[in-house]
Amino acid sequence: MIDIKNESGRIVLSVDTTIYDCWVIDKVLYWWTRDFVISRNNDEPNHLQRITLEPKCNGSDIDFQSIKERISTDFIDYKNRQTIAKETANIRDLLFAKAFANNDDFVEFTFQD
Amino acid sequence: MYYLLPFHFQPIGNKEILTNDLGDYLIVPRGSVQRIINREVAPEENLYKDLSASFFISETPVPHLLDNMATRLATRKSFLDGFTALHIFVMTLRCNQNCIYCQASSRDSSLKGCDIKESDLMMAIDLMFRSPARHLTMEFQGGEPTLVSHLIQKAILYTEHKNQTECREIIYVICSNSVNVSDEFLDFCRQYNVVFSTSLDGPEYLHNHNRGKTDSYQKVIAGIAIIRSSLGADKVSALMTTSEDSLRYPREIVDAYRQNGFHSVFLRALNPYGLARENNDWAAYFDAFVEFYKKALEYILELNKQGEGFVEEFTALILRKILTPFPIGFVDLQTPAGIINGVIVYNYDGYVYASDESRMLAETGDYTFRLGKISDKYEDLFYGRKAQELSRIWSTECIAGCSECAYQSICGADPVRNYSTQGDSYGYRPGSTICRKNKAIIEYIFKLLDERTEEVLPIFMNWISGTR
Repeated sequence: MIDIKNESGRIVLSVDTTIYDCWVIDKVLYWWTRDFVISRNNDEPNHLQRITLEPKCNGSDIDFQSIKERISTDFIDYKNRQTIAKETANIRDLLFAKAFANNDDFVEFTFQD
Repeated sequence: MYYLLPFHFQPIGNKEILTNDLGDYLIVPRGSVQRIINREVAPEENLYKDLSASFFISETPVPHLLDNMATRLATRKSFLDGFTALHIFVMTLRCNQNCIYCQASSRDSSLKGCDIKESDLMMAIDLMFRSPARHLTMEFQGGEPTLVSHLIQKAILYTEHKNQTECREIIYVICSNSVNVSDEFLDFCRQYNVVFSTSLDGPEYLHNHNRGKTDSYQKVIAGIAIIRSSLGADKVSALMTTSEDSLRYPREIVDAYRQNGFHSVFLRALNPYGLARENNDWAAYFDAFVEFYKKALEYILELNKQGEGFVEEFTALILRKILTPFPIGFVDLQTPAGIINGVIVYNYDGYVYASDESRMLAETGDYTFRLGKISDKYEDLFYGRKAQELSRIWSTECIAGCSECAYQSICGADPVRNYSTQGDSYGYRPGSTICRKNKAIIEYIFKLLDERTEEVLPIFMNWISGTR
């Protein structure tokens, strides 16, 4: 789960790291680093990461609701990307290895199912 | 039960675009990816069949058609097979025009010390023949290369001589403003099947404004007519560059191309090099460029619907990547990047650069992408330390912000542009104007394919099948 709050113009997230690990958090936050200064603190016993996004431009209006919606969907989308990447890593390696191997060395699979 | 195959996705409105490394794509309702991952897509659903047919899922852990998939991936990357195919020879930095956005930092036409040495030119040709590419393109650039037409002639004659034993397919291209090409030189060009690539920015008032001249348009049009009558109508093509002023004239630019007998236009944004680098707000420029592009493309689609075959070339390049299994030769949209893999530059200063943009940076005193001297060994230039360093960051598949992007196989990596615009070859995608521009254009094309299929697909298929 993610809890998203607006604290005096700063966006504060509380992310459950048992659901969204560092890979997902890194990927999501990367796209917010253009407009925000981001700090992260781990709350180890509770498996939470507290993330603060502070606007780089002082006094800039932030549309909290739209940011909240985008961050929420970003977390879900990157979690899905992680799942796909994990589940398909081996087949992708195999695919690239075959694609760039010398064609003469190709070994044809025989399937029995 | 099914198994996932590698794919990427991007939400776009209430839909999701799914793409994979093989070049397949599907546009599905938002939430479909979640269903796919949760194994909720039933075999009787059309979505299941589409996913299976397009290699997004497999019914076996290792797909039966893995070899087929590997072949398709290899085909997609087959631009790497021949290695460097485009060899650019910057013959001189001198120019007889004065364009306000000059990306090549050209110098006055009477200035000395800005021409390539003949000895360097010949050594550069020797290097070109070290490339394994079966098809070579030898492109003469400047400044204005026709100011040293005698050197171009020597270069072509030397190449022809060497090619008697090398037996490569060679295309000669001269990038010229067409303002001052002599009959004698055109006779030579006809003999060796040389093609011209010239610059036409649009209607007279815009072209002259961009060139900082009052008569440039008339001279270019006259030059194009002379080249056409001497070499043939198909031997001259034109490129436009979208200056900030150009952004107000999408239809007028397209019309200027039509009126001058062209059947296509390449809507090309400014590059942040040379004089153009001094632009103030690149983010605003690229946002405006995308709107300009959309207006021009809509107008071109209207023309096509009325029966006039007219192509927007950048769209056609993107479409070839979306709709066909084949790679394209356009170095800006390649991964691994076009630098060195697709293009190399032999500069008038006696050095070899990783790309056209690299030598433009050098004119500002920045030699980051200088690979070495023309007199250096081929291996040291093309496989040396700098090339190896660049190779770590020249694939969209492995750089931050691109590695999960659904458009990674359509777009391209460009360390030189990253460096030029952001001071870092690796690049920072959240602040990248080229990322923003390419994403916006690719998404727009996907939207057209999805929402106006019957209207645009026949036109687009004509553009990419060459039946125009």
